[in-house]
Amino acid sequence: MISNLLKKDFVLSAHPTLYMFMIIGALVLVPAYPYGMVFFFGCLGLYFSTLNGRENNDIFYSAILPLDKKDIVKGKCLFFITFELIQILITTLIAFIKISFIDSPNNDVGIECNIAFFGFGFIIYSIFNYIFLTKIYKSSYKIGIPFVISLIFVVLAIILMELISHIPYFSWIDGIAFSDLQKQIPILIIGFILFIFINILTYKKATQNFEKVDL
Amino acid sequence: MILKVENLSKEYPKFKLNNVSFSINEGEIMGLIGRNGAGKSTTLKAILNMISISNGTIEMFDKNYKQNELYCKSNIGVVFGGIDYYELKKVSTITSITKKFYKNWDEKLYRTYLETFNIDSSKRIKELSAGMKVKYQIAVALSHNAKLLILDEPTSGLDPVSREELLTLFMYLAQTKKISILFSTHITSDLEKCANTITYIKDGNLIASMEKTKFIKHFQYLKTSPTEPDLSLEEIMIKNERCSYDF
Repeated sequence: MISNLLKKDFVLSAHPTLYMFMIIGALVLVPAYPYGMVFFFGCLGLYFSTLNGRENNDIFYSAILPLDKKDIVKGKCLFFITFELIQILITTLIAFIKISFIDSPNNDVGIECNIAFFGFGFIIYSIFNYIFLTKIYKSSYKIGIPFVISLIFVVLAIILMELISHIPYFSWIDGIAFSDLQKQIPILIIGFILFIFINILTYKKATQNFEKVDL
Repeated sequence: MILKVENLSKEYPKFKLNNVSFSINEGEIMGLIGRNGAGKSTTLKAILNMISISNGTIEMFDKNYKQNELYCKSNIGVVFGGIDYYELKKVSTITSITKKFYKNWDEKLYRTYLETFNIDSSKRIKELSAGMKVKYQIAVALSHNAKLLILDEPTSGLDPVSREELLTLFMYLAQTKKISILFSTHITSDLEKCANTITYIKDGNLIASMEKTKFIKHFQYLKTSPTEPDLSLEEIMIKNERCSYDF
């Protein structure tokens, strides 16, 4: 069932840009760039795909399949999570190659693509999923306003992540030295735990909202 | 009993579907009639749990629908007018996803129906004619052995030849395959040809639900004079719904 739900979204409702944004992690190869944009583009790709689904009456198509409302929400949540995990995995591989084999100077613009960066990435995606998904399932057709609201919080989180690397006290957050990377591990763990819990909460809340919606 | 709807009610701020009850047996074609906005689509959506209901129960295949939604949905085919989803995708792509959700999908049967209905699976949905879109959805429903077809205005917007073809298909499915069909329409002439029973909804209220000949006989009291010929379904509806405007 889960693989069918995912296949439905990746084949039918995924907007072509989603696949482009899946490999947008290549931006970490740019020597000086706000790498937080990787997550911003990820949110944008998910928004385009949700919009594409709405314009193609995905909710109606799903509603006549042997699925209940809970499954419809579950499918969408899993679609978001799967995309985000794939994008983070691809970005991790590119970051690993960059740090290990490409001799590039430190990113002066913002945070380096290190362990803390991916921890923050999980937190940013958790914020986006919770606000966007719980709000779109309040109506099933209002997508623009939920995106704007979620984006405000996502952008604030990205700015915070990029700024923190400039504060001397938190310089270890921006580092790629082994000792700095070791210190950053708790951020990744906390980010990933939050990602799991907030997504469970997102699914529950979005399901509750969608149950009240008349299609 | 294939479908039993009891006291179905749904309240909107400006519309109320009020205690609608009817039932459908195996191999029966029921026409759900009423003018635009009478509550036909609301009734069908309420049956399919697409909208929450204020009151009432729905039993499908002798099971409570809400508690057995997945089982019931696996055994029905739903056609809401034409296909207005994923119109730029190819028929084959939509089918490749749709069939994954049905355990009892019969690929051989699906190919046979595509051939019978002359549907080219390499075409995009938007390239199919209105009649072909309905036939494609029926082909999908039949390929997972649906026992009940729920059709909302399937013949609206079709040319007379396509309508006739569909009605013949409905009669074949009901008589030969014992498939039950719940068919909402405001084109009453379609029902004269193929329906066994008629359920009539006016302003959200159930006016009557009975066997077609009984239904027609019941409403003959609307005749303006005893010498007037028997009223058809269309005339019955018009006489019931007629209103005048003061300008």
